[in-house]
Amino acid sequence: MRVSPAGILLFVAVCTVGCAKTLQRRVTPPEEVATLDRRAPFLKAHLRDGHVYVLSPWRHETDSARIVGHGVRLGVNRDTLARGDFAVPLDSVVLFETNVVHTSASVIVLSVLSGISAGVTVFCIANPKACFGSCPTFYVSDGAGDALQAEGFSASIAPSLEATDVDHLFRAPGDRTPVRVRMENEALETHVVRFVRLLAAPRAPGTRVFAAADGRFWRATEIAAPLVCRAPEGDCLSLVAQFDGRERTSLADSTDLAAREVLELAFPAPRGRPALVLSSRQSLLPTFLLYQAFAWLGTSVGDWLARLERGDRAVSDRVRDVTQVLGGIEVLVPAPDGGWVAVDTVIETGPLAADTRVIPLPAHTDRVRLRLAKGAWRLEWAALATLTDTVTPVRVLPAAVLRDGREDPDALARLRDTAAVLVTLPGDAYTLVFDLPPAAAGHELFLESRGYYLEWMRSEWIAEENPLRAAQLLLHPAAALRDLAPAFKQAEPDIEQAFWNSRYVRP
Amino acid sequence: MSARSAAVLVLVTVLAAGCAGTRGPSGYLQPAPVTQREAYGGWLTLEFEDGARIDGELIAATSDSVFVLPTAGPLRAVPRAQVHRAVLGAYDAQWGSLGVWTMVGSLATLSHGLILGLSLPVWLIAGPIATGAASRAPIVKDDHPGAWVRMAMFARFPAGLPDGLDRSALRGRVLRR
Repeated sequence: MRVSPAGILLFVAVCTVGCAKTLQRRVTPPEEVATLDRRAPFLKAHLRDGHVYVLSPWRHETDSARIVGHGVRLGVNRDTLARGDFAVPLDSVVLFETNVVHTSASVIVLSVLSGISAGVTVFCIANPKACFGSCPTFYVSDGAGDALQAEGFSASIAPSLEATDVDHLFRAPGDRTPVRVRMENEALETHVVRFVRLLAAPRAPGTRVFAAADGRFWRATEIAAPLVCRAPEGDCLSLVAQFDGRERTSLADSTDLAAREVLELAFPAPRGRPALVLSSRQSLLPTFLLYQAFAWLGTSVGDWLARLERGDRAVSDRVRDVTQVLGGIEVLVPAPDGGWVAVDTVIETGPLAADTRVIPLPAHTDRVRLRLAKGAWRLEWAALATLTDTVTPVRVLPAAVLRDGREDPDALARLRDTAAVLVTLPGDAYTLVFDLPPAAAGHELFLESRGYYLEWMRSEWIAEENPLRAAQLLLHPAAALRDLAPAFKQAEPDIEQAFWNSRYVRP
Repeated sequence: MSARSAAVLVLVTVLAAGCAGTRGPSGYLQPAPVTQREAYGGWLTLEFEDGARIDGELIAATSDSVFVLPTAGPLRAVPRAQVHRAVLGAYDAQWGSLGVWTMVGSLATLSHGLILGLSLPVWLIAGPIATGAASRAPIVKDDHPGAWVRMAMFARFPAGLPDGLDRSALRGRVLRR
């Protein structure tokens, strides 16, 4: 159910004016006529014979000991006997009655609540490209409680882009079984999940296992924090020295969203084969661009996605061009000629959970440069590790799937059968239970998920349909990123808060 | 939990908030702005030790008697000493709209993302309390000293039965169906 803020405010306005009034009634004997509540718009003068005058307006004439006013005289059965201007002698009155109507205090309480509530909703709708999106979210215990540790196949925004994604569950203890993974659909998206598995790599004491971009898993020792981290804004060492939730990020360039920045890292001299360990996630800049592209494509989004599905080379090239202009995190090492040479580029799509990758480096490398688009990435952790050997993790399929606390054998069968898919809608949540094989020192855990997702077009986006600007983004992405810089900079201060606040959650 | 389930939860919460209603005929009690310019009595329910009950318009309440005009039948004069419990509805509080308001507000928190964890409980607590309070505002019960004095203010004849009143000629409010 969707309740618009305009609807809420209209309801509040109607109710504030028209509903839940309270009545404050006072009765006053005629000898105390001077104390009548003059705020009362109506005065009722009850007579000795049971008749009553209802007067509005009314006033007390002190010199003539009477009440004068305009209104009606009602009989004992409250039928109207006379209508007009009346002068009522005080000695004919047995009791005066006044009533003052107030807005109920309850209305005031609910008005305040509604104002705050509508404000939160309006904030989200005013920043539609900041609202929560991007793929299934996976929550796994970090030993203290469930934590968002992975997001699945974030780049797979169409069936033809269905892909397998491996995320390091870096904070999962890995020494307890079963492992429970809660998979949620928290966005206005349809998720089509082919499978979700755990990759369990046995750990040796003092080692960790990391995934590389080529699909290999490396056992690593002597994991050292950087000695130096220098960013354009200054020292960033404390932010990247540990995987502690504190991230190094920066603001986007105000004239060109593709403008780059460089970070310098220095480590203790490695003793074996060195590798950079990098935990990172995207900022909301790529999400903003994706949603902006959808907005400009508007009603033709379906056509473009269909062309993508048909394998239209031109379309896929355009999409790739946009992605490349923003780029990933380039890892550079000192070159023999004194310059710097790129050895790899980390592109882990998605703004929700930091993923950890290992990038093997040339021997003796102890200095690294990272080149990345300003404001596009968040760096959680950087370290230099010594690689020992590759390992092959055990692939663990879910043993059970729970939905609303009850076993869901159909969902389990779908997640175990690669020919079937599990389709989830906003608010859906499943708990996947995995039984780990025995291992003396526990396991390093990775989440392997495959599927794709479909963004739901939102009316706020359709309103921005602009084929010319869509064409510019797809044909001249570098220019489009310059043109879009002011719009993003306007949204940037609040975009993170708006994004997280807009998660679709079923209570 | 689906939005439908949330709606049911909110409805149950509102209903469980102790909202007070009266047993008067539909349309008898009018909203406060109307009641201030009319001159009928409130709707009174009298309950007796033996389980019997009298409902009707409160015509007058004196120190020892209460006069009630049922929708059918003549004026009833009841000794107050025989009354086990009395409940008067003075006007229509229109608290149902506050219940709807609470439900709309609670459902609107579905768009609050993480803040829902805070905003929904606030609505589920404050909404029903506010609604319940509004529903009880026009209700007067004889459960405290001075209750009958306050009830008498909402009688058709707040000063007591007029002298010489032809009791058999009294008629109640004509309800528009």
